[in-house]
Amino acid sequence: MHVENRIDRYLAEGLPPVSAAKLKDHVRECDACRAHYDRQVALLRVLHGDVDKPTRVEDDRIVHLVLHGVRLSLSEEDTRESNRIDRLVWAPVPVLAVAAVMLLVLAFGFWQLASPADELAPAGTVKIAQIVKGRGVVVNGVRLKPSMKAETDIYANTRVEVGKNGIAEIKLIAGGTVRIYPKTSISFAPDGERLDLEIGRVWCLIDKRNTPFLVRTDTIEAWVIGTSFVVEREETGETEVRVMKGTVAVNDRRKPALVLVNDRQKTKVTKDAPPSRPVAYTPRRDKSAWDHFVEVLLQFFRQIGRAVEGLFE
Amino acid sequence: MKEHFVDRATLEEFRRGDGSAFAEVIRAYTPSIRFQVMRYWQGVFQCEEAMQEIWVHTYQQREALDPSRFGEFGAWLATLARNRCIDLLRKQGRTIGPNTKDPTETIDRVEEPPDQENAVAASEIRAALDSFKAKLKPHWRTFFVLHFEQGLGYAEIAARLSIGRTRCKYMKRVLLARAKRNADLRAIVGRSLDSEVDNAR
Repeated sequence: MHVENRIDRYLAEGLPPVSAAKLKDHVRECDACRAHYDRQVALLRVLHGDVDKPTRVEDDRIVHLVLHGVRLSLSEEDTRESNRIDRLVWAPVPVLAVAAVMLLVLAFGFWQLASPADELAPAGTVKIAQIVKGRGVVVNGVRLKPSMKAETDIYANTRVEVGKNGIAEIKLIAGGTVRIYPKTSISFAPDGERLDLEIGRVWCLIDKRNTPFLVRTDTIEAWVIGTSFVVEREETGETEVRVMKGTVAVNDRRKPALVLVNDRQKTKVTKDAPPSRPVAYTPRRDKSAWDHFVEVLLQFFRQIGRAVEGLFE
Repeated sequence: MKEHFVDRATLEEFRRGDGSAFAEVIRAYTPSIRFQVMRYWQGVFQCEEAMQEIWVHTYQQREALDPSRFGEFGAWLATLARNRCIDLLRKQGRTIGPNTKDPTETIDRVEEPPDQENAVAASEIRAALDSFKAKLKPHWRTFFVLHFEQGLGYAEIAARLSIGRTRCKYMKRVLLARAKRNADLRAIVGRSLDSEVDNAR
């Protein structure tokens, strides 16, 4: 069986390492597919204007293949699994067929399981996260009582503010945690895949996923597939993106300028300048700051406990 | 002769096994390695396979690189690449390279096609691409220019055109499918592959 569609996708977008290896095993043995491979590379080169000059994608492919071959990695993206949306774009028929069957099953399931409680769910609201611990937190203008357990659901378009002495830890339904430092204001986009940081500092620990998670300030946007990173937007308008683990793509929203920030690197965006070249960064400062705030929160609860005990003695 | 492709610090990091440094070395030297490999294999796929083998072998041999001779890294790499090519040819049961020449001959000197021939090919490609572009709707043409002509990635294009990355991928896929059906572009691709085979004879 020839795999022209997969070759096209591999050459244009790349495939996850395991799929790429399988494809190459086939192409190595199949003259027709190898001829298609060469033709497709030539076509891509022609579209880039020079049939003799390898494209940037070709060079990137060599780098990724070799690094994978010697078990080194540049970024989380190297090992990412195939994106479902990619599959939809590149091989729509099987994906659509599976999707149609799943939809039918789901529709049947909903019809069977529909209960009065479903009707009470607020229209147009999608739960995207949950505050699992927090103090000094205001959600859509309503101050929450301090808590160390999951209590408050976050819906699309929710605005979360954390006061001077507060912190908040938010669990994302799609996978991952967002830690919000004091004096920070954020809001979630409707799909829950984007967080708008107005001011302050957030530490995002994002689980590996298929769709990127985006943090946006007025000047930059930083997106990841799965990683741990901090974005801090100062009152002066400066924004810093600090990566603890993985790779984060940082784009200047005012005039597109993309910078890839790797493990233990940071970039800074000022009012007038694009993201700086990544420099070394030690995550200790952000981690110890967070530990300190959590300790303050625990002390607060211990004090309350002692006060309550005092009332009963 | 001093090498200027990568600095000493990068070579030291590469020798220690750092992935980023190795990636930098690969990016810097892949054009010359490709040049060498193309003397022994015709198709892009086979060349890529050989290059991959050479780079993996280079990484495995990195500790043999003498730090006092970092200035000769290019020559060290060329020798390593040539030897690896010969090994691979032997593995494939071939004793000589393409062009019916001895693979052990010097590989530093590669004949360039005449300038005039290059210019004709370039103008032909330009004309075919202009005609292909002219048939595209404005939005698609903009995408084509940004991606294929200016070499921008999806993130930059998505930001500029206010579209999603998935839309970018879809547009690329559609444009590639259209390009495959375009007679002029198909003819250029066919001729370029034919000329590769001719050169190999």
